[in-house]
Amino acid sequence: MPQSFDTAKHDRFLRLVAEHQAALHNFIRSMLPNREEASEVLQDVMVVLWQKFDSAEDFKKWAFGVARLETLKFLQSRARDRHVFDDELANRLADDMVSMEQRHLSQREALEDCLQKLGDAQRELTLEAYNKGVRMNELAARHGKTPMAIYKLLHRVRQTLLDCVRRQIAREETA
Amino acid sequence: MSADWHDTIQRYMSGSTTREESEALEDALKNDAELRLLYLDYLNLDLALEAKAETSGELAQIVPISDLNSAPASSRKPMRSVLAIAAVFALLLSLATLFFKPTSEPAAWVWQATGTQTVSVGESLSPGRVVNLLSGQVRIRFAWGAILAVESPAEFTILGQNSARLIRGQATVRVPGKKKGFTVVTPTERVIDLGTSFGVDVATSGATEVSVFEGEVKLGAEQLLTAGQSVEVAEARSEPKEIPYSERPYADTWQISFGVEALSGKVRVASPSERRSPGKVQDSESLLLFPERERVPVSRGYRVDAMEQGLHQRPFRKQMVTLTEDQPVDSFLLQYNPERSKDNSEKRRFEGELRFDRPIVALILQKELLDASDKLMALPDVEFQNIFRRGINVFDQVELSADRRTLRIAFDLKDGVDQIRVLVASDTGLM
Repeated sequence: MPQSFDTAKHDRFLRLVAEHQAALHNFIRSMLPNREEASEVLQDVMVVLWQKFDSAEDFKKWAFGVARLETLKFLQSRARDRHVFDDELANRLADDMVSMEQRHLSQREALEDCLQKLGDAQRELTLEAYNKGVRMNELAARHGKTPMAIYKLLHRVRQTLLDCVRRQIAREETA
Repeated sequence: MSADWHDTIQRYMSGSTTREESEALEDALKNDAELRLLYLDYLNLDLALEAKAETSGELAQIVPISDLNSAPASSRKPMRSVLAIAAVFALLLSLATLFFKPTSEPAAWVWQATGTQTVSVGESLSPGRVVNLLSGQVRIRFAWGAILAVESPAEFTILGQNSARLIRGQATVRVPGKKKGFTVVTPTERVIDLGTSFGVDVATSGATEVSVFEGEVKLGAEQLLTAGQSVEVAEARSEPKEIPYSERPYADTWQISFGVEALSGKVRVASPSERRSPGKVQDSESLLLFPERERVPVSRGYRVDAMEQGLHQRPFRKQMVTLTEDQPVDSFLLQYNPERSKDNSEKRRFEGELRFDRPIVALILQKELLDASDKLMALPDVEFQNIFRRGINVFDQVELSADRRTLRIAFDLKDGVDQIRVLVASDTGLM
């Protein structure tokens, strides 16, 4: 099947992006917790990657390097308006995040069971709250609660889930 | 560690801490590795819940009307904003067909597209995308982990990160790992996978056949099918009728579902019912490729026999070969196990070629490392102890192509079991 060089390169790039896009997003989030801002940075990262793409590189390592730089740049640009973590901490969190890949995968698997342990109503409300672009006021109104009550509930649920997944992986490690 | 950090971390992530609180958190995080662990565990929880919410919300996303009807009158939005939302939704869908769309996560990715121009490798597919496959075959991986392998002629729609509609044609669905709940909607049935593999065949009339290869499948609201069962549903709302179990017709999509793009020479993929008993399956005519565990996390330093492209044969170099980075892999066991009754004492040469849709990471070729890797790579409940096996012997050759996706094999075989293990890069990274 004849294919021009550019198409082949493009295919290769898309394949690599498909493979690493979510991991890159997660990596950026370790330095920049805001979901929308992280998506913005990821978009910038993709543009840089495509412009400088060369298949000879170790793509993953290179892409994570670009993501780190772009995120630090973004954080610096926001530092004037509000407090953000400085370079030292952002870098350290990014390093830790990479080294915890396995731990986090296990936690994600454990989360399935932990979610099942919640009450149906609690679970549904939690997942609803994590929908993209959901507004707390609307969510509260829909469930006949105050926004404060929703915040408190989510806070409790998150801590319960975190304890649960941590317990589960601790059990797996000793098993 | 103070319990208050739970509260501060959560609020920091949602952007509702004061400047003083943020600064205090920053100082504490710098000096306390345990606290950083807590912070990143919380982040991981958020990331997982976001992905999960996207999956469970997918039907509402496709039919936004249902959401409006269920909202209480007091919070119902005026018509204009409804239209605005619809417009944004349409815009997102059209953006999705462009390059890629980092702002709205795609539902699935194409990992293999052979003999077709309809979709291409690496392409992301958004909810609502209809694929009319007139020729060739595709392997698609959904964001939530399920794999859909389809062979032409077929037509299907991506519904979300964890569901698809099969309009006509034949497919194999597999959901590796512990993930559950992939849904295939067909004209007559809604099939919910409970964490395993099955085949679906939809005729032009809409009549649907389902064969469960491994684990359990929920059919419609209540009926549960288990491995080794096949049913037929002639038309919507008609009773599913049990038919003789068949896996043979799904051989091609079963193979594709493992990312095995092409096989030539005397090699075939072990069928679903053979998959778990490599020791028992005997075949004098072909080498069998047994798909083993998938997405096995393997750490840097893991010992293998070969990683480099090119020809591998005895004698092996003396120095140790180890993986140079952490890498999840899918394991395959390639085996020759002839029937004992036949006269196999004569030597025979088997040649064949395997092509994967992703790179081969490493090869395990010698008995010692085969034994050592069983625990990690073999499927649970598979016993090798009764097999007298070896890795490759002196006249065997294994060659890894320059693009790392093709393995050429030439085995000189006598009585006995020859095995090697092929570790292929997993297509993870999305979850």
